[in-house]
Amino acid sequence: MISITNLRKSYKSKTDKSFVLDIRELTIQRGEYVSIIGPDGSGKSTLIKIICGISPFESGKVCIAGYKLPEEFIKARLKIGYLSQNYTLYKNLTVYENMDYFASLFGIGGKKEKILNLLELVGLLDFKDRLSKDLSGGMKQKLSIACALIRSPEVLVLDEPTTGVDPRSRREIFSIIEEKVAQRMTVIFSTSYMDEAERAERVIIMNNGEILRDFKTENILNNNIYKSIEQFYTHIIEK
Amino acid sequence: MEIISVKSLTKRFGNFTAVDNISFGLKPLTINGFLGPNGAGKTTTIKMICGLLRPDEGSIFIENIDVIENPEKAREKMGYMSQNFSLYPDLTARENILFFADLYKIKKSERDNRYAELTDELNLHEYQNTLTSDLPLGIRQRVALASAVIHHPVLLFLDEPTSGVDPISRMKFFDFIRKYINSHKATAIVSTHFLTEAAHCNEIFLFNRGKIILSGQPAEIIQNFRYNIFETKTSLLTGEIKNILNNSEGIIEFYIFGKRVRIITEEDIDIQQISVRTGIDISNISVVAPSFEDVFISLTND
Ligand SMILES: Nc1ncnc2c1ncn2[C@@H]1O[C@H](COP(=O)(O)OP(=O)(O)OP(=O)(O)O)[C@@H](O)[C@H]1O
Ligand SMILES: [Mg+2]
Repeated sequence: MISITNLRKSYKSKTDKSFVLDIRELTIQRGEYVSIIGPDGSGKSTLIKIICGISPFESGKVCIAGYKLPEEFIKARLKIGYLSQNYTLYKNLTVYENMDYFASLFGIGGKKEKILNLLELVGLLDFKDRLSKDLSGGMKQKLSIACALIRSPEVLVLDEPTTGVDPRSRREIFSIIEEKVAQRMTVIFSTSYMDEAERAERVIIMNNGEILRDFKTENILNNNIYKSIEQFYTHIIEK
Repeated sequence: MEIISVKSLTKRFGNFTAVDNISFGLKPLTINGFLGPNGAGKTTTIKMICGLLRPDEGSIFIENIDVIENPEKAREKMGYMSQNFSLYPDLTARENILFFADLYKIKKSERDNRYAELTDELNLHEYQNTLTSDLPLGIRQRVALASAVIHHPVLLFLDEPTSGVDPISRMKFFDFIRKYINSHKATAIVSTHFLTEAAHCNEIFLFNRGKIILSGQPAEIIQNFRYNIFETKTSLLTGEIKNILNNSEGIIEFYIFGKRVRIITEEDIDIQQISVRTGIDISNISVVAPSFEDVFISLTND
């Protein structure tokens, strides 16, 4: 579903440390459920933006759902659902109107029922007529996620979907995400919650613009050295 | 004794009550954790204490300053890091931090000293000349924190400073705050959704629907927690078992934590009963110590 070879992208700076994203090889199959974790500035969002075709790169081959980036971006785009780290809500539309607008953009059928259902799941149904600018931080994030989840793209890419979301709601959100996984959707997300990262079947740890580790979650947990992905992460990053 | 005292504070937006008659006092030199579901009223409360939002009812005193009457006077003592923090995207990290220093009219030599110290402590060296809009979220949070403390406030209001920050840097954040509090004789309010951070606080306040439903020292809260916690693997959690857990007497709640399921039950339920009811072999169930997340989840269900 996703294949990347010899990808390079850099941000140069005269005075600051330059950043180079350097990925020799990354393949993600259809239906995989993958989390990306790593220190601040390790390149998680940069990689995600490249996969979603919204960030240019200097060299390398990036293929999404059979389309080559950047040339076939327009076609690839229709296959990908992307939730960015910054909210992209219309401040002066209500919660419901934001979702309705988003659903119309992608020509979603039977949208009213779907919208109400998703709002209920993320706990925003009581606030459906509130302007999005009047929502609390976490409520805005929940609305953005609900907008991203109304579609059923082949690949869903979520950049820190639960930043600022409370403990109960972030689990509701992951249960919706996992329903999509059960329907064989390919799901890739970054997170700073290690328990969320552990829910995925495969974990990618990034560091300094490179993939430091890439493994099946079960393989780490089953060897009985590490009780959790958090322990494993802390162990290898602190080294 | 109390540095901040809040009495019967209420804030309504139209006919919605965001903060509903809350009272509390904060002791000096403490870190106070504000926890609670989205929309519970944490940010609204912080904004009122900072004098940025006028309450409908109640009083707020900082030592003997009436914040509602004299917001300017109180604000000199404050550093506020807002949830969607206000960095200038077109300025570099360095320019942003210095901008705040100049706002508070800090002398240049002193300003440069403080700047050097903060870049050191928050590990910002390699990002100083990058536009803040180009910085990763976790780094932007550090710049915002530096901007909020450059004028050495004795009251720190940090609204979700660690959201989007990786686990190792999150620890360092709290080390920084603790050190700051000790060296500047300061007091902090910190809101967070990472419940493990409750352990770094002296006192925690759990908000729910505009009210404070629980407060106290973290250790005391865990000690007084009267429920049992069991853990099993998510791979064993079938739809059928979910049903049983949802409808079983004495089971308060269950939730997923990584590849494990945590089951919160009344005190009189033991591992044997969990095994019998769910049909999960006892070797796959363990009794575990309660966490702040368990406390949160069990108290905010409704
Ligand atoms: N200007 C406003 N108009 C209407 N409602 C508002 C306004 N500001 C806040 N609210 C509402 O007040 C409630 C409390 O919001 P607040 O931002 O204090 O929550 P919070 O506890 O900080 O949540 P989060 O964890 O998501 O940051 C929410 O329901 C929010 O939508
Ligand atoms: Mg808030």
